[in-house]
Amino acid sequence: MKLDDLLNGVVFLVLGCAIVGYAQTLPVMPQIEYGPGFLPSIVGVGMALAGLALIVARLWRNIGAVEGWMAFNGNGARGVLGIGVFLSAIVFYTLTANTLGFLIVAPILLFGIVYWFERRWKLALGVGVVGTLLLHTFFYQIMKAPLPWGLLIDYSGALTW
Amino acid sequence: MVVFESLALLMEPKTLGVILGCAAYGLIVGAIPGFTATMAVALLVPMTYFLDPVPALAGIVTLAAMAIFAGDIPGALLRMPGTPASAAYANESYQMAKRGEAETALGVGLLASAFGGVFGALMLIFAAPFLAEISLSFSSFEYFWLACLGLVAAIAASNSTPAKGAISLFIGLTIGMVGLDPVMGQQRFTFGNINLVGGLAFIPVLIGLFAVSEAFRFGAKPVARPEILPISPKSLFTGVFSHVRRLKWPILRGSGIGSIVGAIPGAGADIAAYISYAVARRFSPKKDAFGTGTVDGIAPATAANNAAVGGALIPATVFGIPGDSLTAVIIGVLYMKGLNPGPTVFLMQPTLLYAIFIAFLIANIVMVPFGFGAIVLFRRILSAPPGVVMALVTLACIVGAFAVENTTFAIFVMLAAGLLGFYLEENEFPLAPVILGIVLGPILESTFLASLAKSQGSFVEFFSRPIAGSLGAITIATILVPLLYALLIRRK
Repeated sequence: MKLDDLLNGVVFLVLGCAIVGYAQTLPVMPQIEYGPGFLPSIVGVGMALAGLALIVARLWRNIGAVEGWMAFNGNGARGVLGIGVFLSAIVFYTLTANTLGFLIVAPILLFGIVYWFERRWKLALGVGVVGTLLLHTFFYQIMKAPLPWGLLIDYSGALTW
Repeated sequence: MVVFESLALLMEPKTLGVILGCAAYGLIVGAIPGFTATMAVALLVPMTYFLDPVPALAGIVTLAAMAIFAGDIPGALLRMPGTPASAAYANESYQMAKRGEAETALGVGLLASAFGGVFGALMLIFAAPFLAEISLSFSSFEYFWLACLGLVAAIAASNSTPAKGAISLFIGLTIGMVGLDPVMGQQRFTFGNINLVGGLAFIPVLIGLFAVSEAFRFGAKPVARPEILPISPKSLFTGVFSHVRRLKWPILRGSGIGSIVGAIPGAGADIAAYISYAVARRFSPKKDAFGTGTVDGIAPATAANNAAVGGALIPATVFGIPGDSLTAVIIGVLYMKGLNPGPTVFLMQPTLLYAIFIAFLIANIVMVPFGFGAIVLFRRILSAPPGVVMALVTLACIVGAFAVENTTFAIFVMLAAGLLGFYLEENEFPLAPVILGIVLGPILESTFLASLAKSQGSFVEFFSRPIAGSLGAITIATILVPLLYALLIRRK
């Protein structure tokens, strides 16, 4: 999603000012001139100035102009949906992994992404099963990362190889 | 003997296994166009979290060396450099491949890369302890200026406008400030969220910025791959050695340029390759052949980008100041493993550090047979359906972010960083200054406040010490000279 640099400039000008404003709310330490708000103030001022520079460059020399204020560098609606596939896959995992468990959520996630982009359901199914087993073996069994069992908690012994 | 103890550490079967696995992984990811070496490292970092320091870091430096070379292969056969470091001469090698000389382009490139890599590793092994000894006398003033120089150079070296580079840097510094401030322990940018008190975890942010953003970009527009030019592995080394012998001085010069440019904070392997290519062209007796496909342009430039990796590790290990985004990640892992970079690590844990350096040297030697294998198998690597690769990358990102932090919150942090990375790259904001800002921000703040406390609030001491003063002058010149130059040009 490419925005016109005028918009980008405004975003960072406002964000910079907000950071400076927030820094003022941080407590001042007695007898110490440069407290916790010192670096945030500098960063905020710098960000606001850099945002202003973007605005000036866009207005004076037309640098970073985008027709219609924003442009999407992708395959139209299908491209937007493509981003949505990854976005929803990650959100889906966070919402369901603890209740359903990794071994149930991961194959669904892999199947969904592979099928969307490759349109071959047998391939998607294969990747779903093999990919899940590989990642589970690596992270859970070798690296000892506590991937959630969810519904399969009672079978965790039998499913650990 | 430190060297023998270090070698013994490397010869453990687990470490060897990790190094070989990382070599293969680096070659595969580096060879796929659109995947950067930093992304490969970002995906590897959560796995190294569970390893001992030596295999973890030996694996990462091996991966870095391999990924930089592997980027040459699609550059020659598809005209799509696998990593930005190969962009300087991708056209040169593609022109050769079009004439049916892909074997020569890649064969000479492989040997020159290995030579450059070994040169960079030797520079690292010999120069780093020497510099470390000097820097033992450094105080917070010198470290403050080194951190400033790293940040300023990161903006200067990014191939975007200075304003956009600066914004990226300020975003990184802001991310680095979330949590407790390093001096008073005061909460900042936490907004009452208990998950944010410990700061935004480095690994989920890293994975989000460099890998999840890549998935979003792929989702928006899956990469179409052009026809792969033919290559015959059998004749890969025919005539290659005579070229290398003829070009020994340009390759040596390229390696020297690479290791020096790589060691400058902010500059990286891609800039080293561009400079080396330009220098080779200037001094070559075959100037006219440049641009039409000649190994005279490829060899010095590919030697330079591999030498730059070793060069960049010098300031990273001696001062904790990253040369580029790749070394910023390596510094992050060094901290994570308790090997806090700085001159004292050379005194306290020399065995571990030298084991990592030697692993890097070995990686550049085994690059020859491994690289040969990658060239032969390139067609097969690319035949993997991109949708499958991206699905596995996404799941590895989720599991990686979760595994390290052990909370679902880390996955949300990764997702937010992914959206941020996607927005930044789409709008031509460079990503390297963000990661440098995250790593250097806390160093900058604590050294600045410690220095002020020492000097009782006086700024004079920031310039009155000879080394600090020189570093300060260089930092300020790095900001002012391009500005004055631009003003002068506009006046004319």
